[in-house]
Amino acid sequence: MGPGPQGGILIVTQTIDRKQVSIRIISYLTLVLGAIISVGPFVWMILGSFKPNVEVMRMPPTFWPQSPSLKNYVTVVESIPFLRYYLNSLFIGVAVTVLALFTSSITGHIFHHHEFKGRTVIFATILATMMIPFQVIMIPLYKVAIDLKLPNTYLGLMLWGPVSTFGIFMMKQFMHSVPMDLIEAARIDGAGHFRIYWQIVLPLIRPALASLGIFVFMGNWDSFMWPLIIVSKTEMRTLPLGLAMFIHQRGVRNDLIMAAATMSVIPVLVVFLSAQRHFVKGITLTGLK
Amino acid sequence: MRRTTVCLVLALMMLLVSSSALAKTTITFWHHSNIAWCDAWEKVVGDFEKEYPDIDVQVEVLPDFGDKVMSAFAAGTEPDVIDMIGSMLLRYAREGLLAEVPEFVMTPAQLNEAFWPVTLESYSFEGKYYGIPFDFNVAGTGVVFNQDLVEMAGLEVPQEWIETRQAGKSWPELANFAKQLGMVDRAGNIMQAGLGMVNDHEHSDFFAMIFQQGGDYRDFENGKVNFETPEARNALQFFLDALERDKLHSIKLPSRFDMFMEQTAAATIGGPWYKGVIDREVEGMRYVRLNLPPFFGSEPKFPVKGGWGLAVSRRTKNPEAAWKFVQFAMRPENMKQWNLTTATVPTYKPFAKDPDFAHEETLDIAEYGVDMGAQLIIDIDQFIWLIVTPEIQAVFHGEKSIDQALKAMTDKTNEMIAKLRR
Amino acid sequence: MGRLSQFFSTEKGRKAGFIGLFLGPILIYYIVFLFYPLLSSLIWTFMDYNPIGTSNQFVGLDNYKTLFSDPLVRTTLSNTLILTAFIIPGAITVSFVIALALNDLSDRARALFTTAYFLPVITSMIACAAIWMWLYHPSRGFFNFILYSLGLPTQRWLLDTHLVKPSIAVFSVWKSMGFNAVIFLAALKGIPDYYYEAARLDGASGWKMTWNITLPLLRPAFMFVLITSFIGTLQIFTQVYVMTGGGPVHASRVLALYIYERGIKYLEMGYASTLAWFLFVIIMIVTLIQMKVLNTDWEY
Repeated sequence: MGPGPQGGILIVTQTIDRKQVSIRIISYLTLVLGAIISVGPFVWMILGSFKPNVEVMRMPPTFWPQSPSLKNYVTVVESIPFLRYYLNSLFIGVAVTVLALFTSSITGHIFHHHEFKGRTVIFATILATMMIPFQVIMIPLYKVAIDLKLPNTYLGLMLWGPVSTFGIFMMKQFMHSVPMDLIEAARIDGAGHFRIYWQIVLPLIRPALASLGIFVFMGNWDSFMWPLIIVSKTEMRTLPLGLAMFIHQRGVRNDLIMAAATMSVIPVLVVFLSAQRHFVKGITLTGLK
Repeated sequence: MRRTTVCLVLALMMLLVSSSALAKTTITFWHHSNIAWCDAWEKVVGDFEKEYPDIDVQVEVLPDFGDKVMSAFAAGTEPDVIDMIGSMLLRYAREGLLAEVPEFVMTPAQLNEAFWPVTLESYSFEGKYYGIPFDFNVAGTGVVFNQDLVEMAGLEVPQEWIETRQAGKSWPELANFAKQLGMVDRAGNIMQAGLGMVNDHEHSDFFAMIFQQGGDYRDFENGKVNFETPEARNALQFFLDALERDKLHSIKLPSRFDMFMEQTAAATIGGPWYKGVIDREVEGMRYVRLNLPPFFGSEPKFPVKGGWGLAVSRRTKNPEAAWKFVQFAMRPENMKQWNLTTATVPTYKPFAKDPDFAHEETLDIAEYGVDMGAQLIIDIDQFIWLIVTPEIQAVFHGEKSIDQALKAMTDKTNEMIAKLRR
Repeated sequence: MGRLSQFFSTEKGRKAGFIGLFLGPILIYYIVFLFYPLLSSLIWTFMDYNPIGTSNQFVGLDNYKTLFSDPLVRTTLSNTLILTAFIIPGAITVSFVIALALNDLSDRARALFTTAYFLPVITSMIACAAIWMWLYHPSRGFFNFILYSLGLPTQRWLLDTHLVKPSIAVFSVWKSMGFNAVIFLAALKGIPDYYYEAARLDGASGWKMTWNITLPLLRPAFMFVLITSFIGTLQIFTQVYVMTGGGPVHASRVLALYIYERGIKYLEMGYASTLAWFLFVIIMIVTLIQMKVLNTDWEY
């Protein structure tokens, strides 16, 4: 393999000396150990989900389930509407992501490509809201939601998310990749403002949109505090909330909890493994811009 | 022409009215998520809907019950009927959020006749009643033994205890027995608890110890509480001895409830409702439940915070259907079924002599149950969970001295009382 | 009316219409769901505000006085800071080491390892917390099984007032290390090769280059990771809510949890708002300090 083009961080010398080999071995060992630590708990979870409670509780623990059974999964599905939680999370996640992508990109576009009075001040004000911790907003926001009769509704669950300050900021940064000349040219050709946004700007920032989309979706998929506040009805729970409530209720049953956790993890895992590259790229782009 | 129009409109209106009358009335009902509670209410609701096909009860099971009820009332999204614990109820009754029990359900006199007065303490405000109590929700009147683990230690629950239905005549007898049930590892850590005592409702035992010594923390005259008493000091010291000297349990172990369910505690102090969970969550556990002997003296006094019971929101749009449901649930045969399923101590007086409850712990409620001070403290929930429990546990963790904890408890509670009365 | 439609048919008008139509609702969203709550929250800090209470009145600086005398504020603040002190150095060191090691691999091996490190990142916090609660279980947990097998004394992890914070910290580092590693990795990849070539010609050693080239060039990545981790950790909530609920005693009760309890559970919205602003100020201070320190010390 040899040190690749980027191999020069730790070692730059082209000759493979002893020091280099030992460093390489150490770094491999570190990586393998780290990978085991990363993945191990999930393996333990999946194995545990096939064991009866007695076996889950046994000391010393068994590694392979002695008589693997799907009983835990059946019990979980019978006691909570797992599919509903899934659909709730999926629906809210997709809706919020689509909305956030639209609002972020169009706002970014307006702020970058249009001159208007108060532009700098408004943008700076919006940007400043990134500093505000959710805790400050959450309590009055809850009151606003109450006044608007939003608890236990999808709209209420989506209240926090369709406009993302971070997204606006990121999109505005990416607008540099859309040359002003192009927009001017389209305008001379008689294209309307929305058409310019839709047909010229959007296609050009597609990679950034994908990254932001993954970022927003992941954040929303895992959001917990706001659903915890705004939802009391079982059928309106999102996946994390439903899972947390299940843990709350069946705390002594680690077998069932592991089955529920596995069920919540596996589909995400499948999506992730099939689109892994995009995930990693998404994080990188959002992280660095 | 005009007349026919009027007739038509009238006919249409009548049709609308009658069809809406035919349509089902829906009431919402919330209860907490204890697995036995779920079974008990499922039965009641199912039977109710059979008898009243025109009423649809939408049930919501809330694992974070305490958090949600208050915000639901704030949001105006509270259910029509709620299975609320007495320790929460007064707070809402005071703010005018609960409906008074209507006369056709029960008059105050009838309520006092039917239920033990000590539970009603938590259900009344300024002489009016705001709910129907179903149980006592006692936390620590019993001891449960895991017979397999007892036998593994080479012992047996004494026959005499089983006959008298009490785990020893006095605490030392039980403690000595439990000491032999524990298992300690090489490092001196408890691997198996002899008797689960802490991390779950220990406030109840703490109050019981105070009452059993003839002490009291409730100072009704001055509208305050006072824990800076010799009885309270003795109580915490008693606890510390059981934990540190006798090593029956440890604050650093899981709760007595969890340990018993996970079969890492051979026995535990616990409420009667432990049975409901054991029967459903722990397959094939052989266990025996007995009354807990008094910690001090000879009278097994214990605190009562008013058990779970039904209350109706003042803002309900269907008060009639809501109270119909309450009335149905409180029929003696339904209430009995409910108490048996949840394995709770009934508060309905006639059940005290019912042979079906003969095996239940501590039915001498009238004699030994002491109200926690609902009328004085108002928000018993906050008092127990945010003030008393953390202070007791701080002592067990060695982070505070007994005196510091008792002072903090007293001050914080009095502060809260002052704030709530403001 | 005619004038208006005339205005919107001019180029200037069309532009104003476009901006107004799309930026307008977004600004309204900001006003209704951000600035209005922000202002309410600030006003409530001077009130005894409870939506089910009947006496919502102005109490002057009472909430602020309570803030400074409330022992739980001290406890929750110090818990939050201690957790941060455990998590941030851990998270940054671990993920940076992983990134360095990953950077050295072939593309395929890197992809494989990245997947492994990314699993905790994409998995929901609640599911991960559930697994770790079981791993930490004092009598049935995997960690104590290992300790016991090695003949070491078993620990109480989440139930021990001293160990609970390190335990949550280890979990949090585990959860986030893949995320930060990927960011560091991208930054490492962004460093042009000729920097190292030049340094090598000057006779610099491997470690010297890491110190003099890699680290300074990674400053933006460090800034990003540091500031976001700080802001995130100071608001830590979910794992604490699920794993310990703030216990044992108050040993893991963090500010965000305390705000939730006061504001949402007990509906003392006035006092909870005061607590939230307190957290806000702390986050601001920490962020400003970091920006200052990172900007001055790392100049090269």
